Amino acid sequence: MPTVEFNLKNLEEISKVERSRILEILENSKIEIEGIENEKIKLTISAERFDLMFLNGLANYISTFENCSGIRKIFIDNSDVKVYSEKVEARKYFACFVVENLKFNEEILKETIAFQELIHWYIGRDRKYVAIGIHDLDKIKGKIIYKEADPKEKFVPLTYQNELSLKEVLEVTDKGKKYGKLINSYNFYPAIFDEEGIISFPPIINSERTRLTENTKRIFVDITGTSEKAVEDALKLLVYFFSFYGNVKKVYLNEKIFPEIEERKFSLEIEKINKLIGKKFEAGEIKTLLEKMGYDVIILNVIEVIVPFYRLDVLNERDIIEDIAISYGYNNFVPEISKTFSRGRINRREKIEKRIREILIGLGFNEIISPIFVGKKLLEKCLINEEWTKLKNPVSEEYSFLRKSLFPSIMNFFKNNVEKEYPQKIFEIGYVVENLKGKRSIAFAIADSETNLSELISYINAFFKELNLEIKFEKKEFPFLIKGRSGIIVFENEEIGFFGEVHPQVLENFGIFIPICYCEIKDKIYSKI
Amino acid sequence: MKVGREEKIVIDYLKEKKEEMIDNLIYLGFNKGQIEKICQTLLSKNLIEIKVQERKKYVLSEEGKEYLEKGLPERNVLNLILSGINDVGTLNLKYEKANIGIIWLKNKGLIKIIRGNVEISEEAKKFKDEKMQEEIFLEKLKKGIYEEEISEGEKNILESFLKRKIIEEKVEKIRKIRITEKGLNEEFEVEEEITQLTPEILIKKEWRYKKLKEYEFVDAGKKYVAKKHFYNRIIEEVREFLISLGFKEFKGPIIELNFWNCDALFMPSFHPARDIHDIFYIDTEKKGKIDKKIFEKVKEEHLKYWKDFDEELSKKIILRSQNTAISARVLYLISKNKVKIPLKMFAIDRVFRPDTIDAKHFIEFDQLEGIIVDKDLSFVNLLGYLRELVKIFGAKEVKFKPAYFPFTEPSVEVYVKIGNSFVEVGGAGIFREEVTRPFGVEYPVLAWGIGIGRLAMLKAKINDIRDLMSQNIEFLRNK
Repeated sequence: MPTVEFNLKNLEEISKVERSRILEILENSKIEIEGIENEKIKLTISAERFDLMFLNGLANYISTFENCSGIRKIFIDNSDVKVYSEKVEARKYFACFVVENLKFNEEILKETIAFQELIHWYIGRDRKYVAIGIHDLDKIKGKIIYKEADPKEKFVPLTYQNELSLKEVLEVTDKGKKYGKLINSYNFYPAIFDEEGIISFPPIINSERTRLTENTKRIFVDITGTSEKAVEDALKLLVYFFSFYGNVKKVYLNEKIFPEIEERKFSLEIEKINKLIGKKFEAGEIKTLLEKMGYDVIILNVIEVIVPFYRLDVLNERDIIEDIAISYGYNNFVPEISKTFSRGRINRREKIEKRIREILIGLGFNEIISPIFVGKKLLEKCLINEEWTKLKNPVSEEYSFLRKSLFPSIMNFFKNNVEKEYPQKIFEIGYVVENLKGKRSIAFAIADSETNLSELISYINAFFKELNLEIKFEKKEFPFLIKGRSGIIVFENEEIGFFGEVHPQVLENFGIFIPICYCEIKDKIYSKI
Repeated sequence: MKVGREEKIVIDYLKEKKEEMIDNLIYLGFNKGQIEKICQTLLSKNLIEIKVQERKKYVLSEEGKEYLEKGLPERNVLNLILSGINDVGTLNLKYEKANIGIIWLKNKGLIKIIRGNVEISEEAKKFKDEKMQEEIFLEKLKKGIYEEEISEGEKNILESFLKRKIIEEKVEKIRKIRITEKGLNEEFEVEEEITQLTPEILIKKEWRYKKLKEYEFVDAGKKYVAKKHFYNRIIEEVREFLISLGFKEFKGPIIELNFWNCDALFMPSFHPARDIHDIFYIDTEKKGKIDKKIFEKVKEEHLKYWKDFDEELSKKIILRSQNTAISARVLYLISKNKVKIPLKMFAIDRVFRPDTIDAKHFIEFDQLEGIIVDKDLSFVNLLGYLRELVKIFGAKEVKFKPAYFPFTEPSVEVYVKIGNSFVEVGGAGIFREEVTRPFGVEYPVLAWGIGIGRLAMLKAKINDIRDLMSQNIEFLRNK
């Protein structure tokens, strides 16, 4: 989740709410206070509330809550900027607007870039779904066109002095190398032109010509992307963001006024609200609670709620009901459980494993738990060449496969305990994966200077006798067990497990100088118990 | 003087050797228990004395082990330099520990840094094929090295390795026995003693004329109680607690489909919410099969709000990353009439997530989750259940905080007071209608999750989550 940092003093000044109250409001919101240090407050804000991730947005939330002031009105006039957009295969969706009467300073410029980066990362998933370009409008000449451009077309990218072709930008610049993959499979690249040439090469880089400075008074904001919703969301957030610093204005996009941003209206029945929350609120109370959360409310026979356009998280009535509960304060409710009747019951698998666990402990084995993940090196040490289920995105070599047998885990455990006292008798009941299915498996093993197959078999016999299962043994070879001293366990003509003395080569590979006997039983027996 | 057979072996040995480490007596064919007993007997007769000495040993630290495997920073940097890279910036880009390597190479006078560029000395070039002294010493350290085994020439390197925290100093205590004057001068004979009654002795009545050896109550070897794993012990306690509250336990597959893990829970294909759950993907071309009717209904909910639904992604095979996937499958069972409502269910089981492994995170852990489905359930009821559920933590004070989960609205996080501070122990909410509608579930569904790992760590008093899967048998024997 995104983490942001604000100056507490600024927050106090803008919201006109005192510090202790600010902290109290934040404490009871979907915001986590990570820490306060030298007047800086560090917050984790849930990924749906981008409208709180910049100073003025958060201050507005706080002052609205304190003053029950409802929606902060934003007026968006028309400008005379003309923009045209054509079909662009690589980035289909396009939006834009302008802001006038800006008072930029270094602080605001920094904040703008920070907010832009948040959108790039969290909504754009690193510029894929949406990317934003901001330009000095006074440096743009004539009408603006978003269209496909030939990779050979040239312009001077931001921070460069010479002209580069779009293709060169991808090859030479850092941003090009990083984001080129988003468009380089297309024959034509997205670009925004004015009468003098390219001003923006989304999602890569802007032009040097239209660069923002602290003296910039008017800006043109372009938003391009591959997801309609991401572009729309970014547009709303940016309009809200810039409304604090200047006059946001619409443009003529393909001869039509754009963007038309409208607030949404929902009708809620009081009874439905109260039923879901579990408390009887009056209409008036609900109105106040919602106004604190920044909604406008009209009480008719239903409750009409007007949702500000930048509340991307509000999908339907449910989200508004949650805000009523938050506004009231979760800790002000009186918790009460329902009278739902249901008989408790343990899962069958757990019941069986509990029994197996008891048997093995009774036989003197100590339980261990180990990860399902195993590495190639570990398997090689076990002389296992078979391809086990592999992960596409492992975190390391050590954890790149899913075990099909508990054998490597058990051997790894013994390896980690060669300096500890013997005899070591251990067992594990854990997950294995076979044919893309998760299964359970039971393994027990003895490491002792005097252990041998006859000891192991006596344990296997005791185990199955306790479960009332009549089993047979058959000889079978395994690469990691001694030939002629290993076999399978058969129940009702089905192989349900295997056992044997661990091969000296395997012991040597693990640096273990003590004999080990091993037995593994499959969860096929669960249906017989 | 008459002594036992075993005592005689040791005292004869000491007459020659004068002094020996106690641990070395195993070479005379005794086990540890026997050795203790013999020494106690000889000590009580003033034939020997026992001395404790300290011995310094140097072993590799975690960092040292890493260097042993991947090479010392100075070696790795030198190799990069020898391969032709000579500006500090690029070295740092190529190798995260470049700066450390550079400092040591500089100290050794093998390189100079001039305006951000590395100038390499002639001497350094010979190390292309030759090992540096540090490397030779590092290899020696593989199994640890005793102070007395370190040569004069190596002492400098030892100092610098200590400073660099590549090695750690450990003090081993060794016990030695030394023969006393009395022991030296005395003549010894073996006294025929019975140390162990046998059927033979009883039948032959030998006990009547032979001495039954007195037993010294010293450590005669250890026995351990075989145990259930402490983590499973705690999980069983939790399971019983939930059953006592009327919850039924369910299971679901660990090899899951993205559909059940995310899509059925209204987590959009592209939204940052999916960031919360980074997921392990199985390396396979196979795709999962999903009930067509349900698939279409879930897709419809996604298209309505997210305007996007990635069918291919949905069918991908993954490792379950959250047990809410089990709750989603239970909703499906309800829709098929295989599970009846009203229902209170829970699941305690393993989930998997790619994460940086440290004391707080491991890539597999357990989650305790559940749902309650009934007519007229409310948010206030949810808070009521949470207050009941967190009683398992044994804490009296409970606090609720608004939260965000993609599949619930309203959502809440639960904190309990442990010691002097509130600790987050769980999350909950009422399933969104977008989650329940595709399954035709019209009643409110209260969903909750409790951090079982945290609970276990608190109960077992451990600070590292990896200890829940401890690979140390002694640790498990003592828990």
